This record gives sequence, C-alpha cells and structure tokens, in this order.
Amino acid sequence: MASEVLKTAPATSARAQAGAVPGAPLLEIRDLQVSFPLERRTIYAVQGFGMQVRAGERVGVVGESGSGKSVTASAVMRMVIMPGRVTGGQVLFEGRDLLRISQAEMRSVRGGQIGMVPQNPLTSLNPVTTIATHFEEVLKLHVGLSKSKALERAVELMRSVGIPDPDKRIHEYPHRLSGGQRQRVIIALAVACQPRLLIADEPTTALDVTIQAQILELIDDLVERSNLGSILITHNLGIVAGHCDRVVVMYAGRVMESAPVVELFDRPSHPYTVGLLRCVPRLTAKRSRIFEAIPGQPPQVTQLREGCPFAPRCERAGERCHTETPPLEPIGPGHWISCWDPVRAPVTAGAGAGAGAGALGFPGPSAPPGDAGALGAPAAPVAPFGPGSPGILP
Amino acid sequence: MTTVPLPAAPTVAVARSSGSFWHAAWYRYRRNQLALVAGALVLLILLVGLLAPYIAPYNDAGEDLTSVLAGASWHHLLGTDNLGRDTLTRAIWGDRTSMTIALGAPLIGLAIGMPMGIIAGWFGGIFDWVTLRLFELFQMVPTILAALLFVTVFGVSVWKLALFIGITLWVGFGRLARAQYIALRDRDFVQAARAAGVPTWRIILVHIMPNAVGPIIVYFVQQVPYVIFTAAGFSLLGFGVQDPLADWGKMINDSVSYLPLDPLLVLVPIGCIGLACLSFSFMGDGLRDALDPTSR
Repeated sequence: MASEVLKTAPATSARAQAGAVPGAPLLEIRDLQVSFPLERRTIYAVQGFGMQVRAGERVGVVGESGSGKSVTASAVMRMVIMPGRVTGGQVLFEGRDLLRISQAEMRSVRGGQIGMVPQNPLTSLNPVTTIATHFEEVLKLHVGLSKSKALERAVELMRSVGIPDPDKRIHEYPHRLSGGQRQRVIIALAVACQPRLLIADEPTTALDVTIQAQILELIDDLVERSNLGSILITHNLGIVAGHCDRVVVMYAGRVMESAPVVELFDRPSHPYTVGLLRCVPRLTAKRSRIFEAIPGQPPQVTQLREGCPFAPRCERAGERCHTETPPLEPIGPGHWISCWDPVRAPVTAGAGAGAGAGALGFPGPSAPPGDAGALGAPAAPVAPFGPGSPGILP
Repeated sequence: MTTVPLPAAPTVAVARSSGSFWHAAWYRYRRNQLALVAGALVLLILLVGLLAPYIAPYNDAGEDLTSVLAGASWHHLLGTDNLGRDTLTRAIWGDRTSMTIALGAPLIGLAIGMPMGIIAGWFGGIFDWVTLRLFELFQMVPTILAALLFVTVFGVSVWKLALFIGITLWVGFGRLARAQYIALRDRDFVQAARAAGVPTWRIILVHIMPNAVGPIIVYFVQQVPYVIFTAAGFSLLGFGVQDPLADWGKMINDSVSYLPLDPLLVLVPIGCIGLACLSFSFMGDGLRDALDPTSR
C-alpha cells in the first residue's frame, strides 16, 4: 500500500504525538539576515527573521512579493543565489547550525533531510532525462539504493502521490506529464529520501485552482503520515487557512505577526495582517468593497534604519513607529506581534507577559498558555528580532 | 514509422514526436530534405576517407612516369597528375587527410574550449573574468598568422596541422559553452537538483551538459567547412601536409600549373572541397533547426 512507503513513525497519530512531546523544535531560525550587495546599493532582503517548526507541524509563511519569503527558504537550504549572502543568524536543524556545517554535510541535508518543493513544477524537472532517472539519482545519493531497488521504490512513491500507471509513466520524459502530475512527481521526489522537513515554496502558483487543492491535500497527507515538519510559503491566505497549523506573517524581511492559524484569523492584531485579511475578496461584500488593497508599495529595503517597515503604509502609525523598531513580543498564547500599536488589546495579557519572560521562540501550535512560559529558558531575555527591549505590552 | 506521412504542420510534428529530446530532434531533422541529403553526403565522405586503403584503385604514392598527365581514361577514371599518380586515388586519400584535419581541429578546439567555458560560466566571478580576458587575447591574433607561426616553429604533419588549427578554434567553443552554462545555471531544474543535494560535478556533467550540447554540436559541424578551407589554404601556401601525403588543397597547389593541359586535375579537388563544405554547412543548418528549435 501507498501509506507503507512513506510511514516512518508507527501508526499512532503523528500530530498528537508532536503535541504531546514539545521537545526541541525540528527547525529553528534565529535572527536570520540576508542581504544582496549590488553595485550601488545593498538590498536587505531578510532582517532578523525567526521562526520555529516542530515535527508534524505545518507552518505557513505569508507575505507580499518581495517580502523575503523565498529568500528565507533558500537561506535554510543555503542556496541563496548570487550575489546574495547570509550575513547573520542561525538556522538550527535538529540542533545543528546549517549555516556552519561543511558543504558535503549540507549536501546530505538537502534532499536527504530537508525536502524542497520548488515553485514552478513545469521547469523544475530536467527536460532531457526521464522521471526514473530523477528518482534513481536522489535515492542513490541519499539512501544508497541500487538502480533496480531505486526504480521499485520510485514506482511506489509515484503511486503514493496518485499518479496512474506509475510503472509506465516513470520511464517518460517530463514534458509528457501535465503540470499537476509534474508537481506530484516533484513532491514525490522531495519526500523520496524520507526527509524530516518539507519546504514548499509557493507549490501551487503555476497550477490551476482545481489542481491546487489536490496538491495541497497531498502535501497535508504526506506531512501527517510521516510526521514531517513543513513550511508552506505562499501569498494566499486561503491556502494558509486550510493547510497550516501556524502562520508567520512576513513584511520587508521581518516577522510582523506569528500565531496559530485560528487565532490569526479570529484576532489579527498587526495592522498589516488586518490589511492583508481585508484584501481577500469576499463576494458577500458590497460591490465597491469586494477588492480592497493596502495603499502603497512594499518597500525594497536598501537602508537599515530604525522604525517599523510598515509604518509608511499603516493608517495607525504614530510618531514612534517611524523612529523605533517595534520588538517581536508575545501578546497571547503562541501569538507574537511586532507593533507599537496593535489593532486589538490582548485578551490574555497575563499569560502573554509570562510567555514573554524569556521564551526564545514561538510556542507550538496548540501549546497551552502555561506551556509557553515553561518552554522559555530562564536565561536573560533574548529578543532574536531586532534590538532587545523591555516587554512593552499595552 | 508506421504512421502515414501527412503533409504535416510543425505543430503536429511536436505533438507526435515521442520520447526524448533526441527523438524529437531527429523528427525535425528528417523533415528537412536538404539537410537529409547533406547528412548522407557527409556520411559518404567520411566513409570514403575511412575506407581509402580498400577502395582506392591505385597506390596513393605510386608514381607512374609512363602515364604522366594521361587524362581521363578507363585506366585512370579522372586522369593522372604530373608524376603519373592517379587523380581518383589522390582524391580518395586526400579525403582521408582533409577529414582528419577537418574533424580533428574542431575536436581539439572543443577539448580546450569547452572545459574553460564551463568553468567560466558555472563558477563565474574571477574565473569568468580571467577566461574572458584569455578569449580576447586569443581573438586578437589572426588565425592564419598564428597557425603559420606554429607550422614554421614545430614543422608539420596531419595531426600537428589539426592541432594548430584547433588551437585557434577553442575561443569559439569556449564562448559558446560559457554562454550555455550561464543561461542554464539558474534554471529551475538546476536549482531543484541542488536542492536535492546533487553534487556540483554531477550537476555540471549530468544535468546541464545534455541540455547544452545542442548548440555546441551545431557549432562543431559549422566549423568543419571553415577548417577544410583553412587547411586547403595552408596547403596552397605550401605550409600544409607534405608529399607523399595527399590533401585536396595540396592537389590544387600541385596541379595549378598544369591546368591548361588537364583541367580535371584542379576541378576534382575543387569539387571535393566544395561538396564537403556544402554538405557540412547544410547539415549544420539542419542540425541547428533540429537541436535548437527556438533559434529560427
């Protein structure tokens, strides 16, 4: 059966297990900085980004084009394209800092321990080799399977991602498959070597809407079956609502808000998040209000300066917003926000303050308020995002 | 093929070409009749050169002073030269020599240029800068002059001649390989291969190379007529292969003074050179359209 191929954990519910054992996160990004030095200026694409992913957890990263989502993903894989450079921060994967291990180690992480689903399925397969060759390559590289064994397993994988007649189709060239099928093949390739983490960078942008849903369900299914951690990069809030446990809202290379998905949609607190949610077209809205937009353009950050990057477009921006960078602080269980003037006062201010007392990152998706505080080390408060700050809470 | 040959539109061709890139390329090549004929002629020329010792009617260096400048006859189908050597035999052996140089020189150019171009294109940065300056340096020197210098210094043989001309060809191959690798370097499937942990050498050789060879093959074939001309020019100048070896260019050089007595002596090698050049050129055109369909 298909499920046997991808199962790494016993049949107990993977998600429940992950919740029960908080432990160390699978992936923790701390204070990541990526910049692109160009001839006359430098673009600071990511500035002090941080997030955590646990096994079995699906984290969505949302933001407009150019907010640094994809750059963050490529920084995790250490594949930032020239002339971009990671200038600071840590990417801890199972305790190892991926930014500091050797090239050879990194190669075994790529594809072996972290699977990547790239944006465009139509061009991400080598046009001159068959599907079988793609599978043989990664399986030989990371698992050490022989050609015949690899082929056998590849056929199983193809079947498990729902490609009909896998034993025939596997010998075909990529251009003979449809876009949706190619994305399925790519997903099968990404999980072929049983990675612990799956990064999907806008996996559905190139596909039509009916296929999008199928592909996202396929990813969900794989994540559940193999207790994978997953990062879903998207600009589509609808996708986030249905297919993520937790959401990180990114703007100008920073985290604006991070919260469990229900919390984010129920009680968005950052003006930017509120704006994004307002942009989602609703057919029930008045005709003139179906399409709304946040006025202005997202900035291309070429100068490092203090102040909230969203301030120029924010209707609530005060004087302080332009002069001081707001720190990322908890305002509720698992709910973090970087804003001087949140849209809504936190309901559980007490619990939030407790959680902020020294937590290094974000608590898990379903962590109870008390748990959040327990996670944090008793060490000095570390603010991985921007300047250290006294917990300023309304 | 079992399918009925329709007066097919190009779109049909793409849709019906099954299997790999090479199948599709062959399908496109087949539809170009001129290229098909040229390809057949190229094969014939190569075959004749390969089988020269078996098919030539006389000994290639065999002089027969009793039948000097004999003209075409049943004994000597294309006549004899001033030393009584059979012209057909000379032309067949000349084929062998000319083709050795015509294919050898681009091969040498490819062997030098391609690795340099790949390194420059893939790694970029300082590698690219140095290689580009090398390209410029070599392009400054006129081909004929450089090769003549080599011939004067190192002497001449068939392989040396191929090497000297080849050295002057590497820049073209280098530039082309560099351009291909720069264009393919950031393509999605290459990034995907990197994300799957494929080692760099494997990406360069296994993932990019097959995608890059099309234009390089085309360029190779297009270089052949150029080399035939160059080698003939060398022979004409007396810097080419030496007696007793035959070479089309040398045959012209040897017989120019006997042109009034027997025009065949000059027309045969000229015809051979012309035929070979045209065949390779049209084959190159066909290959370009077949392997690089976007270039039209």
